[in-house]
Amino acid sequence: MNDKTIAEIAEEVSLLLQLDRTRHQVSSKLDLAVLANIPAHLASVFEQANIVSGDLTPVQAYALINKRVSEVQAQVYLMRLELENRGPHDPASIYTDPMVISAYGDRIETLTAQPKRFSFGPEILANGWYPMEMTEEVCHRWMRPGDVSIACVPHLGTGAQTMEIEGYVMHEDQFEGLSITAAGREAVIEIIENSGVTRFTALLTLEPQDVKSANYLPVEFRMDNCKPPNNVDTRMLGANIQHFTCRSAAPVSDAVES
Amino acid sequence: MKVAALCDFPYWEGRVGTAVRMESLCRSLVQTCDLSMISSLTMPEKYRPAAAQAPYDFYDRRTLKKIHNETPDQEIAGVRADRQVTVKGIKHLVEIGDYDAVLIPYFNRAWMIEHIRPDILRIVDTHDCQSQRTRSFAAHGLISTFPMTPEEEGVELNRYDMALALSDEDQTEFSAITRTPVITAPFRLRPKPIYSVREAASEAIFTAARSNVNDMTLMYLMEEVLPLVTRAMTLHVVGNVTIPKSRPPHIKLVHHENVEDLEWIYRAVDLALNPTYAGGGVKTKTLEAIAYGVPVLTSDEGARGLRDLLPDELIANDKETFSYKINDLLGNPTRRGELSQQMINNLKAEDSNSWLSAFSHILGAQRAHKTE
Repeated sequence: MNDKTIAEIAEEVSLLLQLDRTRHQVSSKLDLAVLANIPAHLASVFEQANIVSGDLTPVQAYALINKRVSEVQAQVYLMRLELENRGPHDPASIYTDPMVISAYGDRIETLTAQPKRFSFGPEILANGWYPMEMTEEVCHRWMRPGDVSIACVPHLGTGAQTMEIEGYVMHEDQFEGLSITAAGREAVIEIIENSGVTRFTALLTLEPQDVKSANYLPVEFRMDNCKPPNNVDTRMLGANIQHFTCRSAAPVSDAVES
Repeated sequence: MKVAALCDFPYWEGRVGTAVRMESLCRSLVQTCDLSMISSLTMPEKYRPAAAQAPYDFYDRRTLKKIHNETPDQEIAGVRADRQVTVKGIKHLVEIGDYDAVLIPYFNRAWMIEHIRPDILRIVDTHDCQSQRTRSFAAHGLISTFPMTPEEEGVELNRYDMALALSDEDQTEFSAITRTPVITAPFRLRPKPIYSVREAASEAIFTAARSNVNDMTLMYLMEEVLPLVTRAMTLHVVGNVTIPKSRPPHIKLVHHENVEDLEWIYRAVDLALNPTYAGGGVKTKTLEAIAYGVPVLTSDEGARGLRDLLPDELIANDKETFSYKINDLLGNPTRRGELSQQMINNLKAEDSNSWLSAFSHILGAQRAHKTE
């Protein structure tokens, strides 16, 4: 292997590290549990894939293996830097290249692994709703008549995630007129209970691009059929929303790793 | 929504990054709100025809002075005498004009809005994440101009109803330290491709004003990176950055100072270099090279907020790879041409105003919260 070949390999690996840092596809953290028993790890990857999908396509298999190879390459690259930059008289001074210190010295987490759950309290920024109400320590709000009711929800950070929204309508026929969207994506709304009131959950599946503009995601609620709930309360009500839950779309093991 | 953007610098000259940012931000905001610009300075005559064409209302010091003179009995207590005209004029314009929000460029202009009614929303354009910059500088033994801990910066941000970040990286930093909504409003220049691919390439550009971090970066380039480059080349250093006394024998250095228009220098070079490794914020020099279509070799730090525009190949985070890429790119005209085109295509394809929808919704929600 000559200098040119080594430089070319270093460049490729460096490129992978850029992907690692900026897109969070590949971790360069040392994973000692994996390194201690690689065959067991590979087996667990396949097992996990089978649990998730029941079937592993060749593309998925290559993606999993490529990811692990990239991680190993990244570690090799860091070891090369360490060897080349270790001071002969001061072994503690590993990196002397300041550019390396800056690039690999600290990382910011772009995605929170733990789910976040909110009731419709003051932390949700809202427009087009009746004032907040509280029932059994749960904050909730009713949609007002209008073009759109907006709820801006703090999300998990820039990464793929889901947002589940829980609520209900007083009259079953209102359900058909309800739509929930965010970042141009339509939520999948399902009725979960239909006794007295119609309870539903709405699921938004979000890509990193959908949440990157702000740390709050504006969710748009539309209802073309607002009605008073009963003869006493004459307010024209749309849906009542109680909870928002954000969950990372990354598999649990990756979420913990990141 | 009626928004007033405030400034206390001659943004119309467009000479420094802050000014270019202000103008670019205003041109985006007019797409979603009824925008006015209020400047505490008087705009010179020669800029007024252009300002009259701007898609927003413009008020400068002449208007503020007129208000001041017409309301001599309405001095604001506790305001410095030299700021009275500005503070009083802004308060009057914003409150009488029924504005929903005011926007200031950076925390240190808070004095401009301290006395306006509390129901008017406050927006801060952050420019930099100071706690991140402080941390980055500290790693290299430097002290930033506005040193801040994350806690201090979080307290500052919490005073505002909305913060604008220049990059996703800054937004992530801020989100960890404040509950204030933070929106990434990227800083962009219009593409102006001028790059010509030359077979025999040997010219590179490094642009920097004098500062500790820029002096350090040029020193690093000259003493650590360029000695590893094997080919002879000319480095055009633009700006009043401190020139290191020593240089590698195969590197010719040409220093350009007081250059108003850099276009002719960008036309003459084959590669832009920005091996910066400390600091924060979006680097105008990286953005400028991208807009001109000049392949710009930089680091993660140099590409902050611009990562989506730069091909991966133009990033290196250690001196060996950086110098290897200089050699490689100078010797490969085809690839340089492709990279130039790729950067311009990325810039053209990017929807740099996609944040306006989130901005508008969140601003509306904050306004509703204030008036509930």
